Amino acid sequence: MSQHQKIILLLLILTLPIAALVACGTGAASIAPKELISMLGHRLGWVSEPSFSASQAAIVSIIRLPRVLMSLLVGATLAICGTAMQGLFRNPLADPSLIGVSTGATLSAALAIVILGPMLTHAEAEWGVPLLPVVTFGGAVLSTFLIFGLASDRRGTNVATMLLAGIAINALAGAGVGLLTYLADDEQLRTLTFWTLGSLGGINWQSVVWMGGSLFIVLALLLPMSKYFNALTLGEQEAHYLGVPVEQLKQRVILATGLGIGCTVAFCGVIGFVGLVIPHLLRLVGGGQHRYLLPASALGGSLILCLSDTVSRTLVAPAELPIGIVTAIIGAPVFLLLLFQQNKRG
Amino acid sequence: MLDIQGVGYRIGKKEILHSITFTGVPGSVMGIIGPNGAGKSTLLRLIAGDSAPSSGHISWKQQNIQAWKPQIFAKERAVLTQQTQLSQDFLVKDVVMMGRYPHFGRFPKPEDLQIVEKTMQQTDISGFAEASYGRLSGGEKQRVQLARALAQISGGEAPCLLLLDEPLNNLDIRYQHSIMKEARNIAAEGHMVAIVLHDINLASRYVDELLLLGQGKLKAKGTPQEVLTPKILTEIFQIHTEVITTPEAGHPVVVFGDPIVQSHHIPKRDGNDTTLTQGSLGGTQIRTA
Repeated sequence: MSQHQKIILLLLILTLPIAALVACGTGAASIAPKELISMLGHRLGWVSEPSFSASQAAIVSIIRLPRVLMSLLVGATLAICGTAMQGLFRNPLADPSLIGVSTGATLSAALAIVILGPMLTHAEAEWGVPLLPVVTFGGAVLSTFLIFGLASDRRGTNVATMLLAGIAINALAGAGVGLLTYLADDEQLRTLTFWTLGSLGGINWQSVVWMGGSLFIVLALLLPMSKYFNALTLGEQEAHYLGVPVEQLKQRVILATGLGIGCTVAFCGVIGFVGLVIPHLLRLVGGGQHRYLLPASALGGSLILCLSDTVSRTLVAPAELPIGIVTAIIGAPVFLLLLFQQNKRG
Repeated sequence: MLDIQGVGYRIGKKEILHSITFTGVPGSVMGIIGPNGAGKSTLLRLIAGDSAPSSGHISWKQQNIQAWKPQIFAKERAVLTQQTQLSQDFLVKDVVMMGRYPHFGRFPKPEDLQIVEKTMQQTDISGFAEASYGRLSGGEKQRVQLARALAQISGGEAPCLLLLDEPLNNLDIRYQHSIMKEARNIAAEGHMVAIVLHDINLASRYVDELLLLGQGKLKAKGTPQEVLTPKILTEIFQIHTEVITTPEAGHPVVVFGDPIVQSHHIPKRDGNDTTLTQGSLGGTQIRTA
């Protein structure tokens, strides 16, 4: 890793806690960073005299903190899975949605909302299990395996076929979701919008724990693979000559993406853009070396999603903007600017 | 040593290679020549272990190529293919470092860094080690890829296997010769080098042994003097050929005439029809290659 790349990583690591602190303090009841730090100190037993009110503590620990943590976890998952997908497909336009995870998940969520409808709330009241995330996660994993299976034969997995199969399945699932929106009533439509545009509302500590576990597995699967991702940029055959177990790498990436993206869609709906643009941004500023790119994407994704979520819940308060809209509004101009600058330099 | 016994390869019903047998000796450079579609690259890919031959077997150091573990074999043989595009941009030295990937875990050892330095000097690319690969010219990219292949087999114990598929693409005449010389140096270190070449005269000058392939069959093998005869070259390449040996060159020089045309009437630009007879050099239009 070059000096330049280390500096970018360091900057990201330093910015992240500041962003999280700001996010925790921003909202209907504003809380100063000083009070937040004192809360943290009090929790850890370093500060004995609390300089904050009990209601402030409640707001942070019940509402703000889980949501901010969730935005960090989801952002990291989306961006690192995007990087892995782009590495695997050797295509900068690849994105987790390509292997049908997001649309497959959305379709199953839509089916559940429209057809099962009242049963969902009933199930939650009855068994205490939020049925919708479970169904959504199932849909994500199922569609991933479907596309992976379509593109594999005994010689291995053809990534070009996978790309095309992914596009076809995406279109089919998209049509299914479209059809269901016609059948849905007003209430169901609102829930569907939540799913297709994404939101971090309705997050609790339980979902944070699940998402954290999933991110841990995703990182454990992908971070040690940086060398192999680099070799893969030469081509599958050339990577094989360098001793890269290409098939194993493909399976790992599919597994990590199915799990990671499945979880994000299950808890927060489809949040586009982060998986595509964050890796690009970081490649533009720091190059394609995956030893830098994989951790940097995770950090960069966290940062962007944390900021986007803060904007999404404060801009039109007390209402909320769907986060997908915010990520696009913040990210697209920055991305275009960098692209433009690079062309001018090049 | 490389041992190839009765190797055939077919895709569906199409026979690409038919019963190829030869042995390659470490310390030597072997050239593979032949017309387009003769099966040269396929043969190289079978030796590289890409896929198993349909019949016969290929072994390296008395062990079947297919039985080598990919991670171990990667330390023994390097392949330079005609593919030079990268899907993402890297610094030149990072690309060369990829050649060392089979040799280290997560982080390169000092030895790996030294070898990268050395191979970049050998291929004359040290000047742009810190440049980004995507901005290089075709010939420079080719040399970076060669450096990567050299780095892969450096530092280990000879003999290793270096397979080069048309390594001279995009290179000017100076680098064509310097890369062929580099191949000779690698062989002198005790490695075995096999090169698919289009330029028969470069092959004649630099290789120890030549394999001439035509339509999937091994048409001739031996030293350049033995293989490069007008009769067989004319037959296989379908072009009128003369071979001259100059005392100062010390190796056969092949001179090509006009291609043999199946229909005997070819309209000329100036409007006069010329009739060619098979087996003779096509008039005065001799071009030296």
